[in-house]
Amino acid sequence: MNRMQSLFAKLSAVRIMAWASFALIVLGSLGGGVGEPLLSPRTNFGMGTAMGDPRVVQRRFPQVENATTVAWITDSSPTILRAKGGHPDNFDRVGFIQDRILEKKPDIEGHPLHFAMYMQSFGPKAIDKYFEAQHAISLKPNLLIYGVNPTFDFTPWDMMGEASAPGALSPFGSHNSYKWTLLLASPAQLIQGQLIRFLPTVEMRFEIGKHFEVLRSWLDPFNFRAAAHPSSPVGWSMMRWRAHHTGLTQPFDPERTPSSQLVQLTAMQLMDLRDDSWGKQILRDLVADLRQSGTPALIYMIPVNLRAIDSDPVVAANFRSIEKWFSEFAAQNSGGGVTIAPQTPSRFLEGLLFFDISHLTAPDPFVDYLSNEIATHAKPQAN
Amino acid sequence: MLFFDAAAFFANLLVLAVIVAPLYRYTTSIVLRQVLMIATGVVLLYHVAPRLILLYLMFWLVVVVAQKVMLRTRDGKWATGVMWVCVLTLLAPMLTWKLFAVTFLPQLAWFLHSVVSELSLNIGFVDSHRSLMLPVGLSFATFRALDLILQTYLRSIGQIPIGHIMAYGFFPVLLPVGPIATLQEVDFTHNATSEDVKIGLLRITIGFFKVFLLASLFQDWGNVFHSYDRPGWQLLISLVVFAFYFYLNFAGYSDIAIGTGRLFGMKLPENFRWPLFRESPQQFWASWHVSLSRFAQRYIFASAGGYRRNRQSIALLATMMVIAWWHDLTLAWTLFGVYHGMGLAVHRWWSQNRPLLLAKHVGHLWYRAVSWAMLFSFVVMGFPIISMDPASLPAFYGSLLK
Repeated sequence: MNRMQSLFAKLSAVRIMAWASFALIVLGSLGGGVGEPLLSPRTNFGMGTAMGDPRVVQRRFPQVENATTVAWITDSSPTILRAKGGHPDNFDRVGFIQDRILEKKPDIEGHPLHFAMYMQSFGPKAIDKYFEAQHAISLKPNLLIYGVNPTFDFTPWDMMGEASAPGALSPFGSHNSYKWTLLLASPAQLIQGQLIRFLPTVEMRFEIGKHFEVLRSWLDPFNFRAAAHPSSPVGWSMMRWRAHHTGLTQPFDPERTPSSQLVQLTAMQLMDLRDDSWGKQILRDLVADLRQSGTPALIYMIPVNLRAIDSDPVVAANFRSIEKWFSEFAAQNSGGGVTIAPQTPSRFLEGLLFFDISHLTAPDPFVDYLSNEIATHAKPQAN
Repeated sequence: MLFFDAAAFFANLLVLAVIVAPLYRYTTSIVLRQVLMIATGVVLLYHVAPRLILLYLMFWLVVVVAQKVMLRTRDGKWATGVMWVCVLTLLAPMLTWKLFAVTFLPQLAWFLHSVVSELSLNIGFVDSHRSLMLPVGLSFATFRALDLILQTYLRSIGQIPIGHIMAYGFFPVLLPVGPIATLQEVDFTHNATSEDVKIGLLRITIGFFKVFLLASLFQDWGNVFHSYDRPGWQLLISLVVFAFYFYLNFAGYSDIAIGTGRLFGMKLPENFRWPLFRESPQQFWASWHVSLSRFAQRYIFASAGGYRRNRQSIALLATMMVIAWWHDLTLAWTLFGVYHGMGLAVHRWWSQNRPLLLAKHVGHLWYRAVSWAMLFSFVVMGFPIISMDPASLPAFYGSLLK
């Protein structure tokens, strides 16, 4: 080992840097592919780290000639999940609603449909999405779609309350709600968010990751990959444990209930239902901004698992209150290029299957619904 | 470690090192260096789960007290008794976890989470989102703490300031996957040279290649242990591939840890020395997870009379059982300890009693090749013991004969 070390010590700093850069490129390439082998988005996603908080990523949306551009402000709900391995927390991300829409409706009146996704996958707050909408408006899209998430948009967690809002738009541009980001995003995620500006491989990790996946499959001739992993008996998040231990949520079947569902139910228990609540005020401001900028928009409430919501009386009551408010809000504010769908599609679409409260495993009816809505509201005019 | 991402831990550490390493290098105050290391460890633990900060704070404060008690009593007649009390006190969390994981872990996590939430709602909320995981790195921390206490008992070290012990405890490089470095090896006085930085960076790069390029390609082969209804030859190949995956993954993380330590000027102990290419069980355990073997050799093998010919077999078995039980107190790891302990004892007997005709060929290429093949097979055949339910072992080994 000493001989090896002295050999290494003789290497020049330049070589070390070259090695380190190469390692970085390889790591950047592997980041997305390893964690999400089945994920292959065709849409131009403004997504961040696969496992982390994507809001730290600088958005870069190339302008596509002659396209009908739809800016989509959303949480993770358009991610289509598939359960695997028997444990309720085990799943694969198998696609996105937007990709399914593109399959059904690749263009509008001959203009290719192009989605610019502002996707924040980890419990985004209304304030985060509001600032994303501000950025999206500046792109002058043909349509701006805004998904209202009742599980998180109306929850006044301290860190996202009014006190943190004055500094919410940080100098980094897309580091919205920096307090939230700094609390949850790790140093490596923050750096990756910045590196994506300069290191194309980080941005291309899904594409490059696919090559790695091919290599891995090639090196797995006995197809061990297909074998199911055993369940993890201790794989609960603290939120799940807290909900169970304190009786915060109604009794649930731990063998069948994903942790994410308990997080979402707990968040919905903490809804701020006041008329001047932060979540409601943001929606009012958003509509005013959209109207002022002349941006055509579709605001919808995401599909939610009504059966799970109704199983908890507190959550069910809170949700109905928000639904009622949203429906009145839609009636009062639709028009002038801004369309507000008054009901969650769960109320009128049949056949939706959910992984938890807000993620779908069988999204086809919702895809059809959104495809029609986009065709109706997106006007293929010059950007 | 359930739901703990060692890769993310080291990625965060390396990002922080861009700032922390130069600060550390150009700070002349040892106390400031220690504060810097504690702060870095705290930040990294926060991103794993904030409750772990509390866990390790309490644990290392107990170590501080234990060291003081040991120091004051080591010259008295109760020294040995006090040493045992200290050792058992420090072992208690790890033993409780390993004996009663399903009940103890959630309760411990809930207790720590409740305290964290009381201190700060925001941080408590972040903690809510973290997994209910095993206490990451507690086994490594426990053996480092034991080494500190035992060295105090043996008079190898004197009074250590609280800041030094806390910096040793929270030293981020050693937190998740070791190596089990001694207090002396975590030397905050040493300045990293440019050579250290070069070697460190290269070592980290090598580690990343082992973990993310090589091991990652073969990680699915671990499924062989619950998908073994296959021809025996497939299982044999799979076991060989899995052995290399297991080695590359662990050794790669050790490389990253050792390389990162080098960025701070520290020469941490080696953890792997090409163990899969050794020719005897003794050589294997002297080159596989070396820092753990070293601990066991110092405190178990020697204490059990391993250097006396008539006690060697017992000492070897005891040493292997401690190494095995350090991983987990389960039937599987007990079997693993017996398996390798017996292997060591049998090989030692063979070394002392092999026929003269063979003894003459010990250094020859063919003898070494056969020795390697036998050891490699022995090691590979041991992996199923710790990778599956013991009740399924007969069926698995039976499948090898299909």
